[in-house]
Amino acid sequence: MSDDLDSVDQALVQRLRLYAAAGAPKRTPGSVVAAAVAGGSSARARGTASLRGLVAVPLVLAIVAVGIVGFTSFVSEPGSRPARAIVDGTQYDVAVARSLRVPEDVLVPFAQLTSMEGGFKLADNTAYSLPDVDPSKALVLRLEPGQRDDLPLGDYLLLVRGDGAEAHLCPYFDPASPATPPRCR
Amino acid sequence: MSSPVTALLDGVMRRSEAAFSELVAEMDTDLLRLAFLITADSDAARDAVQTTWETLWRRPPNLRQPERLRSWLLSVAANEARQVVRRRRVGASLERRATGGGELLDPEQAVANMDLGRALLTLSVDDRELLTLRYVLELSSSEVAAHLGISPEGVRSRARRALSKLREELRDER
Repeated sequence: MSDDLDSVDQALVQRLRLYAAAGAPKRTPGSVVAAAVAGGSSARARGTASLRGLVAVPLVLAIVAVGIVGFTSFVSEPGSRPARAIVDGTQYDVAVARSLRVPEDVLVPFAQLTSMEGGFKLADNTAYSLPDVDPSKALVLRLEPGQRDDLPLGDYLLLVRGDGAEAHLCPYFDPASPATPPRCR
Repeated sequence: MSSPVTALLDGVMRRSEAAFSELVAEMDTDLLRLAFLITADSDAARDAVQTTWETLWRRPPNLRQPERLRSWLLSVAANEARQVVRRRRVGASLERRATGGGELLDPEQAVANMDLGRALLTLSVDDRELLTLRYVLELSSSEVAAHLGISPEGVRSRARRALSKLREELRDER
C-alpha cells in the first residue's frame, strides 16, 4: 500500500479490497475456458456448476439492499445469492430497504412466513402485502423494534420475487433518503 | 505468471487450451475484481470478463511486447465492463451482490458493503478503474499511468480526489 495514504485512506483502501474480494464472482478456470472455447458472448462460465446440489456448500447470505437498487433478476447459484424466504410455498429474495416508509395501517396480512435465512429479528411471523403491489412480486416483513438501533436496517424487510415490483414500491420510499432508488426520488 | 507470458500467449495463438487455462488461472480473479468495481454488479462483471477471455481466444492480440499481455487484458476487461454498464444500466442496480463469494457475512458487514458499493457508484467509471488498478490490484502509479495514458502524478492526484470523494459519500451515509 502506498505510503502517501493516511490511516483513514488506508482503512478505506482495505475496505475496497475486501468489498472487491467479497463481491467479485468466484469460478473455476475450466469453466471459463470451456465457455470461451465454445464461444458465444452470452455464455456465462458460472464455475460453480459442479458445486450445485452439494449440501456442504456454504451459503452466502447476500443481503440485497433496495436502497438504490432496481429489481433486476437475481442470480441464484451456490456461493453467491441473496438470503431467501418462503411464504405460502413461494420463494422470495430478502431485501434490506432502509428508506421504506409504510404506515402500519396499510399493511395487509398476506400469509405466514414459513422460513427465512439471514438471522433477522422480526416483530412477527407475518408477511404483509402493500396496496397496489402484487404480493407475488413483493411482500413486507416487520423488523423487531430496537433492532434499528443496533443495525441500520430500517423498520421493514422486503421480500421480492422476479422483476417488476420496483415501480409499484416507489410511493413507499422516503424520497429524501439517499438510500431510496433514484427512480423513486 | 508461472510460465513466461510470451510462452502462454504463443500457446493461446496455437489454440492451446492448457496455455489458455493457465492464463485464466493467473488473471481471472484480478479481471473479475476490476470489472466488479467498475460495474458494482457481479453478473455484469462475469459477463464482461467472459467476453474478455473470448476475445483473447478468438482474436489473440499481436503484441509487439508480449509481456504487456496483462495490461492488454486489464484494458479489454475495463472496456467491456464499461460497455456492460452502458448496456445494462447497472448503475441503477447495485448492491445485489455486495456480499457474494461464498462467505457468510453478518448483516452489519453486508450493510457496510452496500454503503461502499453505493458510494463507489458516485465516482466516475474512470475513477473506479483507477482506484481498482492502483489499490486493489496494486499496480504502481507508473504502471497505472502507462495503462491509462496519463502521468504518474496525474494518477496520484486523481486517486487522492477519488478517495476523498468516497470518504465524503460514506460520511453522508451515517
